[in-house]
Amino acid sequence: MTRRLVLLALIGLMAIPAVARADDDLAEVLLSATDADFHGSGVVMCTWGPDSAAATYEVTRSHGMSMVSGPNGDFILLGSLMASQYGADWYALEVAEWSAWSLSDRYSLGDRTATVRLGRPATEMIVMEGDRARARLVLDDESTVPLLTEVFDGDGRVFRSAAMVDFAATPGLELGMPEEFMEHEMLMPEQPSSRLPDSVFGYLRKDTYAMAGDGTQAFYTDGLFSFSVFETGRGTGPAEFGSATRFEVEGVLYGRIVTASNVWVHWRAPERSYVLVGDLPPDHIEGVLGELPRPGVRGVIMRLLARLFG
Amino acid sequence: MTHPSELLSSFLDGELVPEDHAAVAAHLGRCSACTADLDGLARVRDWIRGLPIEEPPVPLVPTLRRPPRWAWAAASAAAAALAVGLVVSPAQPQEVDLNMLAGQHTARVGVVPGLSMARGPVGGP
Repeated sequence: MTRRLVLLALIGLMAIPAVARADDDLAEVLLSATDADFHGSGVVMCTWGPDSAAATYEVTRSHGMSMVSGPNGDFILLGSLMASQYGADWYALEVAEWSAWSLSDRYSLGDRTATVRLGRPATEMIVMEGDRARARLVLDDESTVPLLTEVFDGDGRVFRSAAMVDFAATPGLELGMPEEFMEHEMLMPEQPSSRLPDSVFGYLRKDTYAMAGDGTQAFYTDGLFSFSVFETGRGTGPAEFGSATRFEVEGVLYGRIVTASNVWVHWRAPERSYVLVGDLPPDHIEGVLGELPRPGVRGVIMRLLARLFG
Repeated sequence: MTHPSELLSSFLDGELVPEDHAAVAAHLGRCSACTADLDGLARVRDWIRGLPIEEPPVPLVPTLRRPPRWAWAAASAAAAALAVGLVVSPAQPQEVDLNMLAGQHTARVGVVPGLSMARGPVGGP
């Protein structure tokens, strides 16, 4: 009996590292890809129900600095600093403080398959969330940068696809930062809103920042996907949501806008208004919204007026 | 022939005159970069053609809803309350700049790894 228990314990000890290694591998893949030097251009496409969007983009990354030309102009990321170009001028926004990155243990790597993409040796791998495929990655073997990423929704359909159509590993390329900025603002830490939970649907609130004017930005991530929840004054909101698609979560309506790289959701709760933006898939969004302040209006008279006039 | 990038879309759609078509085809035979570009264009075209054509889920012109009869009485009471200053009207809704929110989110995303950073962030609202 004792020998059997010892044997079972040994088998258990051998099994634990094998399970843990899968998560470690995915974390290593993401870290390695984020550090790699490359130049590439690609197409990002996103589809959620009747909403879809596509955009082309170009990225050059070297020594930790990324230069991006996207659908809304050019920007540079270098560590905690983001510089955006408007016309001939550059504007800098710098993150003052941030929490360390960690990957949720709900993700692991499935089987790997050797393949070729864009004429380059590559490896295809499936990111599993529990027993469901959440993403398919095709990584360039030389640089570990994803040449293709496909994110699946809760029904296994492709929600977002990002495909490089041109790629080169370019170690040691020298990139230049603008010599001066028209403005240089800091993203300063702020006290977390008591209305927003520390964790929602497996996402951790890592940081909270102040917004210009009255509002806060709560940044949530599970290490693979991330989103920000902007909490602003009651009744406020982006004008773009006037014609946004309405969708229902647990019996209440939200407005959404799908762009190539992000989904935007806006709603008004009794006390404050909210905008969520992030790259998380639809089933995660619905889970997250179910745990955040719900849409609604404050007070009997306001509820009555809302019922009368919408 | 230099890289005929601006002709690839027309080539794909069969809209080039025969001479240009032949020249682009010959170039594609020896240029992997243009072949990759053409492959990307073809996939985007196929993807767009594959999108479902659906009616908008929300009418672009909102339909007028006739409120229940009791609601008119309640509305009259609310209007009367407003008239005598019993109710303070809500603050005028203010607009939130989507570009500013996109900038703040992208800046924070860019600090740490994640799927967006691994493939290269796209950004923008």
